[in-house]
Amino acid sequence: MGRPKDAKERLWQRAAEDVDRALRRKDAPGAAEHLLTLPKDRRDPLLPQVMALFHADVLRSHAEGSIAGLTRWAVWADAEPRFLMGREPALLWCLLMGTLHSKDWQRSRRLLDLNLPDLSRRSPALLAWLEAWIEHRGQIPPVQAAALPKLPKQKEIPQTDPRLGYEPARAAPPIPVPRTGEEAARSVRRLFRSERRPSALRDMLTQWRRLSPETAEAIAIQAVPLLLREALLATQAEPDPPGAKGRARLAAAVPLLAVAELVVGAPTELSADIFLALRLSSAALPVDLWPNKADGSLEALLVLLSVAGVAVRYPEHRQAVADRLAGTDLPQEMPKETLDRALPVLQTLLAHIQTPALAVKALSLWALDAGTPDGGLGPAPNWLAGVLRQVAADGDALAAYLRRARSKERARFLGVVGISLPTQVGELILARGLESADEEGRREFGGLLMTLLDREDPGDIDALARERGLAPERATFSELFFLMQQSGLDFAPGMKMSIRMMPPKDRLPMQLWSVYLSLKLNGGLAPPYGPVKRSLLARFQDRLLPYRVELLQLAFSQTPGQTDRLRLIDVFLAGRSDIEARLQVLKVLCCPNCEPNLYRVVEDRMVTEYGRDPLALSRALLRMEETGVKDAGMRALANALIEADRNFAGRRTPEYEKALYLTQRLAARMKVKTKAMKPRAVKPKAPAKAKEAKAPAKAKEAKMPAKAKEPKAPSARKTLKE
Amino acid sequence: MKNPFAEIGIAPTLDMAEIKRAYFKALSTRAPQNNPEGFQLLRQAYERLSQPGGLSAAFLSSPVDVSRELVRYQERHAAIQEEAGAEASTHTNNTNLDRFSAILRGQGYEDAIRLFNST
Repeated sequence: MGRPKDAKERLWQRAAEDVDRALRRKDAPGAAEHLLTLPKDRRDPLLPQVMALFHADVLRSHAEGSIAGLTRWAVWADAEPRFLMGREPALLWCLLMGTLHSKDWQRSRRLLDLNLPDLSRRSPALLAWLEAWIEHRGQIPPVQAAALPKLPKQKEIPQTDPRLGYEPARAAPPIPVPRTGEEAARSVRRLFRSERRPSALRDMLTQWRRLSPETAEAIAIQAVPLLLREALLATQAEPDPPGAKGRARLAAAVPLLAVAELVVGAPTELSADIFLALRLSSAALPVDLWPNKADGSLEALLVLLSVAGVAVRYPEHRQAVADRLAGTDLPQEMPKETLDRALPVLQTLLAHIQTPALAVKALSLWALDAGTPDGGLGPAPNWLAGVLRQVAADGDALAAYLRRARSKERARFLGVVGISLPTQVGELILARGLESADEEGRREFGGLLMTLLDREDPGDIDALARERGLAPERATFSELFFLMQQSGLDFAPGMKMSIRMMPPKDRLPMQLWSVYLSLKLNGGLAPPYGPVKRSLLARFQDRLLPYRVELLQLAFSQTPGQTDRLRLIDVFLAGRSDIEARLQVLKVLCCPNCEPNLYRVVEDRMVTEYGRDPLALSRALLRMEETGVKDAGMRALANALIEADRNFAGRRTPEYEKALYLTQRLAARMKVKTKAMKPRAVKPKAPAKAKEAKAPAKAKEAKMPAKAKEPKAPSARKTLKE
Repeated sequence: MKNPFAEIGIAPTLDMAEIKRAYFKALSTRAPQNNPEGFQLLRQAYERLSQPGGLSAAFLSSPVDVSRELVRYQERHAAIQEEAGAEASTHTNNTNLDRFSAILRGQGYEDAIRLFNST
C-alpha cells in the first residue's frame, strides 16, 4: 500500500494499525479506543474482533468489580452503539451495574430500557428495585422503600481469622475523620447511629479531636448533646440500688468523661448541657462521702472534677461549682490522676471565687501531692499563698470556717500552713483564727506557732546579730571560752579544752559562730530568735502558753532572766488550774540543779495550794515518779504529804497507800545520800499491817515508832529571795 | 440527713421563693408542738438550703429526674434530633440500597434473577 496522500488518511491508517496491534495483544480497551478514532465506515472490518474483546472484557470487569472499567465501556458503547448490537442481557447487566455504582443515571436509564423486556418478564422484583434506584438517584424515600419487594437474604460476609492480625471485612465503611464543620456534624451523627458503646464513642471522638484540631469545636458542639443523652439513658437504665449507703452510680461516667475531654473553651451553645453534666456527675457523689466511703466513690470524684473543670470556664456556673466542691469532703489519700484533675479546677475557681473552704481544700490537696523524697513539704506555690493571704485578711470568714471544721481537717491544714506558707501568712492566719477559737482550737494554733518558730531562718539570726552589733569577724576564742564558763553549762570536756588551747585573739570559724551567738544572746545553747520570731513569740505567747507546755519550753529558751521566766510560769499556770499543769512546769524546769530557784518557787506554790489535800498530793507524787523526776525534786512534796497525812481522816485509796510507801522509799534513799531529811514514821494501822509485813527490810529500818517521835513542825523552805 | 428537698417535699429547684412556700406548707403538718422531731428535721433542711452556697450545693447533689431531663433535652435539641432522624431514615434507605448492592455484588444476570425469584 502506498503512503496516503493526506494527513487524515495517514491518521486513520495509523489508527487501524493500532487496532490491529491491540487485537493481536488482546488489549480490548486499546483496540476500542483506537477503533473509535476511525470514522464509522472504516470501523466495519475491525468491529467484530473488537466486539468480541469488548464482550469478554466487560464480563471480566464485572466479575472483578471494576466499576471504572465498566463505566468506560458504557461510555464507549454510547459512542459505538454496535457494541451492544446483540443486546445481550448479560452484557447489558454488567454495564448497568457499572453505571449505577458510578451514579451515571442517564446511562443507567438507557441500559435498563434496553434490558427492560427481558427483566420485566423474568424478574419484576429485580426490575422494581432497579427502577427505584435510578428514579430516586440512589436515595429511596421510606414510603417507596417500604413498597418495594422484599430483598433476598444477604450472604454473610466471611469473617477473617483474627489470628491473622488484620481487620476482617466490614459490612459498612469506616467513618472518615471530619475536616470541616459541616462534615463534623454529619460524621458525629453517623457515629452515634452506628456505635452504641460509650467507650468506643469516647475513643473515636477523642481521636477525631486529636487528628482534626480545626474541627474540635464543631465536634464538641455536635457530640456533647448526644453524649449527654447517652448519659441520661444510662442513668435511667441503672437506678440506685435501694438501701445503698453510697450513691456511686457510674453508669454515666464514660459519656460524662468524654464531655469533659471534648469541650474546647466555653461555647455558649453548650452552657445548659454542661450544667446538666455537672448535675449528673454531682448526683453520683454524695456530700459528706468519706466518713461512709462507698465503692466507686473515687471514680465518681474523678468524673465530678473533670466536668467541674469544664464548668468553671462558664462564669454563670462558677458559683455552683464552688458551692458544690466546698461542701464535698475530700479523702486524705487520692490517686495521682484525681489529684491532677482537682488542683487545676480549684486553682481556676480560686482565681475568681475566694472562699475559706476552697482555699483550705486547695492547700490540703496540694500537700497530698507535694511531698519531697525525704518526707517533708516544700514551699507552697505563690498562687496558693496569695489566695490564703487574701482569704485570711478578708474578715473573719476563715476563722469561722476553721471553728466549724472537723478537728482532724483543721489540724492538718494548720500543719501544712506552718511548714509551707510564708511566715507572714502563717502569722495572719494565726491572728485571725485565735480570735474565736475554742480550747481545742487554741491547742492546734499553739502547734502552728511552734512550727513557725521551729523554721530555720538564717536571715533572721543575721539580722539579730546586726541589731546587736555583733559580727563574726569580731568574735574571738577567748570571748567564746569566757561565755562557756559563764553559762555554767556542761560542755564536753574536750570541747572546752580545745577552745582554751586556741590563740585567744583569733577569729572564730563559722561553725562556732552560732554557738557564740546562742551563748552571747541567750546564755544557753538554744539558737536565739531573730526579730521576726521574737515578734511572733511576743505577740502570741501569752494567749497560747496555757495550752502548750512545749511553748513554755520554747519561751524559756529565749528568756534568760529569772524574773521574766517566772512571769511566763505565772501566765502558764493562770490559764490552768489543775495539778497536772504544775507538774508540767516542774518537768520543764528539769531538775532542781537546772533551775533550782524557780523549781523551789513552783514547788512551794504546790505545797501551799495542795497542802491540805493529801489525795491530790499523793497523785502528784506518783505522777512525778512516773515522769522520772529525781528524788531531790520530790522531797518537798513528799514532806508535804507526810505532814498532811497526820490529819487525814478520809478513805485511804490504794493509790494513796502507794504514795505513802513511796515517801518511805524516798526517805530511805535520801537518808543514804544526805542527812537533811529525817524519815517520818507512818502511823501503823490495822489494815496496813499486812502491807508492813511485805515491805522490804530497808524501809522497815527507816520507820520509827510514833510515840518515840515528836511531831515534826511544818517544813519551812527557803524562798527564792533567801 | 436525707435530701433537704425531699425533706421539705419539693422537687430539686434553685428557686428560693418556691422553697419557702413549700417550707411553710410543710410546717402546717409538722408543727413543733405536735411533731417536734419532724419539725426539727424540716427546720434543719430549710436552714441547710438557706445558708450561703447551700442551695446550689444541695441542688447539684440531689437525684436527677431523668425522665424530665430527657424531655427538656428533646426540647432543647429538637433541631439536632430532626436532622438526625432525617439522616437516620436516609441512612436506613441507603442501608437498603447497600444491601441490594451487596446482594448483587459479583452476581451475573442469570444469578441475580434466580436469587430474586427465590425470595
